[in-house]
Parts: sequence; C-alpha cells; structure tokens
Amino acid sequence: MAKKKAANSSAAASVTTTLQRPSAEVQYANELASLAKASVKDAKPPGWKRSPRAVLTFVLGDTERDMPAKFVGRRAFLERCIVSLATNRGLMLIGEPGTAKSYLSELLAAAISGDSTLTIQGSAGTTEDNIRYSWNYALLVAEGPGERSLVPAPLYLGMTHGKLVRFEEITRCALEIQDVMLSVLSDRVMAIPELPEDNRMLYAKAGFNVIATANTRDRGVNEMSAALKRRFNFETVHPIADISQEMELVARETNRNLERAQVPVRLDSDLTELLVTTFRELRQGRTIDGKGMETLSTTLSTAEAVGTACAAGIHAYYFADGQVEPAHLVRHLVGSVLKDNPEDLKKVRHYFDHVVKKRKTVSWKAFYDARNELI
Amino acid sequence: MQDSDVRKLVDRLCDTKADVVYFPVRHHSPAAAMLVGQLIDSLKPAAVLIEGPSDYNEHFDELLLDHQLPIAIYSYFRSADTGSTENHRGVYYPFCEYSPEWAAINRGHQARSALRFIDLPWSSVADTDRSTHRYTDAKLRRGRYVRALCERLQVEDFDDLWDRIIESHQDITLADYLNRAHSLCLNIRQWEQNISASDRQREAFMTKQIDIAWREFQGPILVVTGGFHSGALAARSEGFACAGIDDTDVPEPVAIEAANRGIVLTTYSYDQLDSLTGYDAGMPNPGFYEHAWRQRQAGEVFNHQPLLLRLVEALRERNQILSTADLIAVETSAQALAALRGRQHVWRRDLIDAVTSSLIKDELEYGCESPFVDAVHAVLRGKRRGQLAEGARVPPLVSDIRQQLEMLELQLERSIRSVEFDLLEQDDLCKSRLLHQLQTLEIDGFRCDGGTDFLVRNDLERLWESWTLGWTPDFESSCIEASRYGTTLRNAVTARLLEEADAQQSDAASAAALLVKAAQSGVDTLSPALLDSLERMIAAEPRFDRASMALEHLLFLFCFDEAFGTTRLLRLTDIVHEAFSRSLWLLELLGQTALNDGTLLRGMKSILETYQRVGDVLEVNDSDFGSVLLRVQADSHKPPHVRGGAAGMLWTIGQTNADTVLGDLMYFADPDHLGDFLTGLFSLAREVAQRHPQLVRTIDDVLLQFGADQFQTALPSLRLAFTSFTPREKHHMLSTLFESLGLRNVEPLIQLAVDDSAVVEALAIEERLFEAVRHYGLEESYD
Repeated sequence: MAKKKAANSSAAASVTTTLQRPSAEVQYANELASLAKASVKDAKPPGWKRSPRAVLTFVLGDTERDMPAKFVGRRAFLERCIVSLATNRGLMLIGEPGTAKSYLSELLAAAISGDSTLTIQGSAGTTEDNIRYSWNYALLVAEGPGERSLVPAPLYLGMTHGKLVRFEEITRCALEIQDVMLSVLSDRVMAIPELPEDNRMLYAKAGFNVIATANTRDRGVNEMSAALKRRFNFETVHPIADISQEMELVARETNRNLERAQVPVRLDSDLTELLVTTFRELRQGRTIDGKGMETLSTTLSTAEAVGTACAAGIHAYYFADGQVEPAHLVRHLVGSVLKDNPEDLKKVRHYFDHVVKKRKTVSWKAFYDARNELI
Repeated sequence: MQDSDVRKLVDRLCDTKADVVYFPVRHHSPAAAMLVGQLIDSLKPAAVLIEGPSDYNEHFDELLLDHQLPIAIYSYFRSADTGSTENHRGVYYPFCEYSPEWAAINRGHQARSALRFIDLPWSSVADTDRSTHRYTDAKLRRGRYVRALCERLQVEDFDDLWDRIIESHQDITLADYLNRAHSLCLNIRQWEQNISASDRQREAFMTKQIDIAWREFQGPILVVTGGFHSGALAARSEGFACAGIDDTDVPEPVAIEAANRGIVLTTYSYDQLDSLTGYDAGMPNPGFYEHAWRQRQAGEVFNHQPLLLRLVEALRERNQILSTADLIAVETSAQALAALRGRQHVWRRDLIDAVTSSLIKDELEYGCESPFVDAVHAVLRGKRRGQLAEGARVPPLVSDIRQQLEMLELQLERSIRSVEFDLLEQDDLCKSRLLHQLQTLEIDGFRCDGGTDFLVRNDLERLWESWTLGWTPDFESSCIEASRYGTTLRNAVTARLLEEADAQQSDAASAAALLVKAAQSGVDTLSPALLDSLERMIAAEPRFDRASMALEHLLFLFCFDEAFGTTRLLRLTDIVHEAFSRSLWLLELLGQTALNDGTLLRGMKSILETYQRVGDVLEVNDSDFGSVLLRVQADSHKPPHVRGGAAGMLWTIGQTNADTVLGDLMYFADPDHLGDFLTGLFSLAREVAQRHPQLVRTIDDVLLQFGADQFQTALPSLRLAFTSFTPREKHHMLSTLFESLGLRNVEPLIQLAVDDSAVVEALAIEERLFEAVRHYGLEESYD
C-alpha cells in the first residue's frame, strides 16, 4: 500500500525505484506529510516535526487512514519508546538479532525528526571521529581550526539541527568510545576544545536525542558502564508474539523484496505458514501443540525467515519453473540455520523426523519429503 | 440482531425509571461500585437482586456481619459419581471493598431493600464451566469486538479499554456509565459467536428469579449482574431481540445431598485476587483500584503520588537502587505517558510503564522477573487480607480439625514452634499422623522439616520426625477449602488420597510412594478404593525399574515397617502380590535396555527378597518362580548381568546347583561379558558365591587364558563385579583360591616399613610427576 501511495508522487517514485533501499522518510514521504498536516495543531515536544500521537500512528498504522502498520509490537511498548525520546534520556533498544530494532529506530527518527540518516554504526573500529567530528586537514593547516575546516559527524549534526541521532550496535564499540556519549546525554553539550573561545561549546538544539540499539547475543549490555546505562531508558524488543502477525509480515516483506529484485514470484500462504511455524518452533523450542524440543544456537528471527523465503523465491525463479516449492525452503533453511554449529543440523534433522513427519497437509508432507536437502 | 435492535435494547437498559432497572457491573470495578451505591440511594429499590449463588440466600445475613474484606463465598460439593477424577470441587465468589456486588449489598441493606442472590447454584453448571472464581471477566475479555475496539481506541487490551472508557473518568455520571457499559457489553455479546450453554442456563434461571421478585415486591427492582448478562436478562423478560436467549427451559438446580455440599464464607486476599489469569482472569492490581476507590469515596481527584511513594519504599526495602534522578524520570515518564494516552491523570498502566521504561537497564524477557517490576506489582497488588467476623458458620471439617489439634495439643499459635516425634511412641505417632493428614489436605501452618525418609530408607535406626507449627492467615481458609473433600478429617483425607491416586499417571513407583504417604497418615486411610486404584496403576506399569521400585516400597511397608502398623497387614497382600508378579513379568520381558545395571539388579534383588521374606504369605508357587528365572537366565537376548542375576537368584533359592552355574560361567567366558555376568551373579548370590571355592577357581582359570588385551578389556567390569564384596569377603575368597591352588602362605598385604624421609622424598617425586603431567596437559589421559 505504501508503495502505491509513493507511486503517486513522481519525485518519490523515481527515487524509490532507482535506489536499492530508500530511507524511511523517502519511502513514506506521503504518509509523513499527511500526518504532519493532521497534527499541526497538536502539542509537540520542542524540536519535533510531529506530535507523539502522530508518530505512534505512523509506526503502528491506522486502518481508518489506510496506513499500514510498519512495525509489529505492543502499543504500550511503543508509547514508552516515544515518551523516552521526549524526556531527557536516550532510548536504548535491546533484543535478539533480527527483531527489527534498527528498523524501528529508523522509523522513529524519520517520524520525529524527518531524517533517519544521522546514523553512527558501532563496530570494533568506531572512533571518536566517527561520532563527534573530525577535521579537513588541508583546511586545518591552511586556515586553522574553524567552522570551515571542521567535518561534522552525525552527533555534531544532530545537536546542531536538533534531530535524533541513531547509534547502531553501541555495545560493539570499545567502552571508552561508548562513554563519549556521557556528557552529551547528560549535559546536552559537546566541547570542541580546538575552536576559538566563543564556539568552544556546542549546545544541543531542542529535538536532539539518541536512539541506540544493542543486541543481546553479542557482547551484552552488561558491559556498558553504569553511568551510560543510567542515561538511557532501556526497552526490550521481542520477537513477534502473534503467529498470524508474523506470517503477514513475512509474506509482505518477502514479496516486497522479491519485487525489488524484479523476481515475479510470490510466496503463497501455505508456504508462509510452514516457514513461519518452523522458525517459531525452532526459535522457541516448543511445537505449536506445546511439546518441548531443543532450541538452536543460531538466532532464527523474523528477518531470517524473510531472508530464507526470498532466497527460495529467487532460486525458484532462476533455477526452477518459478513456483516456490517446500524443497526450495528446505534448501535455503540450511543456510540460515547452519552458521557454525554442526549440532544445529542434527537438531533440525530431529525436528523433521519427529515433528514435521507427523503433519499431514500437502505442503508439510512435501516439506518432509525434501528433508534430504539437509546435507 | 440489527444495530437498531441493539440501540433499542440499550435504551431500555439505560432506563432507570422502569420497574426493573438493570445495572451492569464489571466485577471488582470501583467506578461501578460507586455508581451502584448512588443508584440505590436515589432509586430506593424494593429489592436488590445480585448475581451470586442463590443457594446462599438462606445465610444472607452472615454477609452483613462486620467482616474485614476481602472475603469470599466458598461453594463446594462432592459428586456421588466416583468414576470421575474431579468429584470434589469448589469455587469462590470473592468480594472486596470496592466490589460493586458488595456495594449493592451494603447500600441495599442501608436502604432497607430486600437482598437476594439470583444466580443458579454453581453445582448445576459445574460440569460445563471451568472457572474456579465466579466473579471474573473472561467473557468480556475475549472476542473480536474487544479487539477491534482496542485497535480503534488505540489501547492495548481489555483492562486498558475499561480504564479508558470508564474507570479513569473521575466524574463519570450514572447515565454515562449505564450507556457506555451496556453498549460495550451488549456489543461484545452480539459479536460473540457462541453463548455457552452454562451462560444460557444461568440467564434463564436469573430471569425466572427476577420474575418471581417482580411479582413479590411492590416498587422498583434493581438487578445487579455482570454486564454481559444484563442485556440478555432484559431481553428474556421483555421480549427484545438479543444473542443467545433462544432456549426457554429454566433449569432446576441439581439436587445434591446436604452432607455432600456446602456454602460458607471464607477469607480471601488481594494476592489471590491478583493472581487470576486465563479462565479466571479478573481485574488486575487490586491495590491500585482500592486506592482509586478510596479517593473517589472521599471525593478527591485521583492522585498517583501516594502509590509512587509506596513504590519507592518497596524498592528501597528490596535493596534496589533508586536515586532521586530515577524518581524524577519515573514521574516525568508517567506524566508524559498519561498525556500521550489522552488522560487527565496518571493511571495504572502509565505507572507500570514508566517504571519499566526508566528503571530497568537490561533485557526484559517475557515472563522473566525483574525486581523493579515485582515491586511495582507488589505495590499495586496491595497486601490486604480478609478476616471473618465472629459468628460466621464454618464447615464441620473445620471444627473437626480444630478439635483434633486441641486434643493432641498441637494448636497453632502466633509464635512458631518446633516439635519432634519418636515414631515408635504411640502418642507421638498419633500426632505425626494428624499432621500428615493435614499436610495431605494442604492445610497451611504445618511443615515437616526433617526426619526419617521412608522413601529412601537410608537410616532406619531411629524413626523420628520434626515439624514446625505456626499460625498463618491462610490456615482457616485452607481448612474451609479442604471441606470439599469431606465432613470429617478422616473422610476428607481418604477422599483426597484417592483423588491424588486418580489424578496420577500410571506410574507404579509413585503409586507406591503415595501408599507410603497414606501409611504415614495412618492405616485407616488405606481405603479399599485407594488400594484398588493403586493396584491398577501398578498392574498397568510398563517399565521394570518403576515396578520394582514400587515393590521395594511395598516390601518395606509389608515386612520391615515398625512404626505405621502395616507389617503383614492383610489388606496389603493383594497389592504386594500385584507388584511382585508385575515386576517378575516385566523382568521376563526385558530385552536389551538402556537402564543402568544398578537399577536392574536392585529391582531383581527386591524380587528375590520378596520371595524369600513373604513368598509364603503371597502363596508364590516355587516351581513357577523357578521356571521364570530359568527362562530369564537362558534368554540370549537379555544382557549378561541380568542373566547372571537370574542364575544367582536360582542359586540362592537352591533351585540350581554349582555345576550349572559354573557351566553358565564358562558360557560367558568372553572378556566382554565375563565381568557383567559376574556382577549379576555376585549381587544376587553373594552368600552362596563366596562359600564356593570352585567358583573362584574357575574364574581364575578363565582369566589365565586371557591375553593381555583381553584382560584389559575384562578388567573394569570385573572390578565392578567384586565391589559387591567387603574387603574381608574378598580376602576370604582369595584365601580359598590360594588354598585350592596349593599355595600356603596367604597373608594380608605386608605393611611396608619406610622411614619418614623416604616418604617425603616419594611424595616430592610424585608431586613433580603430577606437575609434569599437568604441564603437558595430560591430565585427562592420565585419568
């Protein structure tokens, strides 16, 4: 639906078709504009482009306005996230990999600041320069430190313009790099000692805040300093609780990705159900009728399910007759399930022999018959 | 039913000038309680009819005594049908200070209205209705309408929905309330596909009661029921269209003998009220709503700050760090959330969310506990616990328990005390039995915290028990709850044990464990029905280890017990026999199995012991027993140690001779099997084996023929085999071997005479050696 709307505006259309993945504010430009218009009179936190309610509506969708939900999650959880951003604490989204933390932070940034591109990607190699600012050394030598020779990084830009800054995978950074955020989050000010007296302090404009994401599988949040933790409100993003919502999301995203890859193949509802059920059962270690089983060591997120389905679709299109079969899913399941632990393969085989085998519908049978694809 | 029909019905329902006025409640809703009070004051009804058990009406005055709330009406019955597993059941009708039903009772009483419960007695719908708490809103919670409305109003679930449209409006008027609640409930009903049979029956019954009251009383009648029912009641009485009212039969309450049913008041607590989920879900966080109710009562605007203060205290009591900055963050978030949700003041969910968001600094998994969330819920739950006024009836069981405790001087006191019993003393045994009986009925205040374990039986030298006794507020209520099992303690315990037996899976060992438990509660509780049921469980046992473990427990009770009086108890003969023959049969069926040798041999030992000790009482046929063992011993599909064990059993009972055993031994002369066979043989024929010099000699011969590799293979299991003997026995066997080989000078190992320095040196070398082993990481291979 979002695509249809975007297609109405020619500018957006040209951007969305040529870009591999347009940012949220481009992709949902029309929705954002209409929400901004509707909430023009509502009270907004200073510096926000839209009212908190409009942000909520944007993320969770609104059937009356024909606006699809972009994120599946509990309303109370999202309300808490939005409120955190309006207070003087940052928002920390934590959860298993693939629970759409980054996507949620992108949606929030797009809706609140109209810009989701001020992003710091945390990694083992992230330095202070990537976060605060660095210098154009030619100009620095020629003119000395000043506005012109300073190269702003996302944090600097966010503070200057009063926008949300996204800090992805913050726990992947070294502790001392993480702690760069301390003074910024508490005092909302960044010292730039190189600049002359008047410009030495950069005070954040209203509207500035930080959304950080961290993933519980890698180095945990336990390694963050208590001082930094204190400056964030933590929210856990859970895997989707409701199977029908997860199925809907997997089908929608898979089909969108396939469309983007110009593969005219669709994942039908039987296969979606099969795939999502398999992923959920392996993820939760419990079959849908409540029997216990062993969980895998790899994460089986909704995103992985979409990835598997897309791969199966592309496979079917280029190497088969264009019809996605359970066998294609099995083949690509191997890739998403088997990362480094050979035990996992045994567990999946056991799953096929004891759970899948007992299911009697046509597609489950075909799924079971294709078990030899599990090398 | 069209929308216009719904509208028409809602209009009728909202009419407070009619003869019969319907007031819809959500159970435990303070807003409803407040408004029903107002309505009664203005309406001055001739009668107030309340959704509640009509079989309680004869005792209604009890409710008007000066109780401390929360309390509940407890209704229980025993069905005559003994085949069913659930024939002792009970349900609660809980009331708290802010329950609309309670408000209706009190205000109705003040207004001198006639008061009556009009619901069908619970025992009549018990078969189809699973919930054990009658004032829940499971019916309102589910369904498409609620889901759609939640989405429309942008709230999370039914609790929030109710808060949003009714509870959080401080100044909601009666007319507004009636309109909103009736429309909501009627639409839920309308969208619901099926109205359950029990609901239809109850509504038909209630309609009839309303009709009776209408004929009886002059003046307006107020009907206070769950909102889900109000519409149906009005529609049934006055011919409106409504979902689920098409059947006309008015059910007659099921007649149950007076001795087998009861309905009494019992204490209740916020803890119980808050923990209701699933079928039993009610309004959560009673402490919060009590707070809201009190403020509403006092005519004040709702203020969440006292709750927040209590929360801070609770957190600090739990040693959680909560700085002033954190408190500011919680307060700000709560205010902001309330604003975002369009509320004038901070409400329940805002508080919970604010704490979750501001204080928790870690991943929060579903169902995972966090001290912060626990503290919030503890504060919002409240600690209130009810107390019955003097003069309320108690069921006969409660007096029986009190009397018996008094007789044996075991009354509960406020201070905790410990008592210790010597089970061989008759007086102490009586006391222990009484306490075990109470424990079986899950009555609070008694804890057995030490003593002889009759299931493990490691130490039977002294038979004793120690108990801790101390009064808890749950003592009375748990006694009342246990009343569903019977009128006297003995009957109740017998019934409870039987229920436990019926509820268990067919597992022989737990059946026998239950029997031990029953024996601890006194031999009187070993009812024929219980023994039958346990016997059935043993007879259905498919696993050898479980059956033989049951046999072991039973053998103990039947042969060796000194305290309980079960030794050679005639009633037990059948069940011991069943366990014996079942174990023997399973032994014969045994193939290659995953069970470890110890379990199997232990099981075989109990079979042998049973045969030796009580074979005569059980009338076991010697030759039959022998032929089973022969078959086991000859069965090439069985593992060697089982066959060795069978050979040992035959040898012990004298049904085979040494030559045959030696022949078998040669058959197992293979290094892989020798040790296993001997393990079995030695465990079951320990006495005979060591008295037979030829046996050791033969083993010696076999071993001498082994090459080094073969010997290495056989060694571990041989070691295991000989562990059944004590060092003295081993020495004895060796001496006989040496004698038969013509070697004379057999002495125990000579003690080495070494001086201290040599020992020190040896230890030092050893230490260096181990050091080197560790250094090269050879520890594992060294082991």
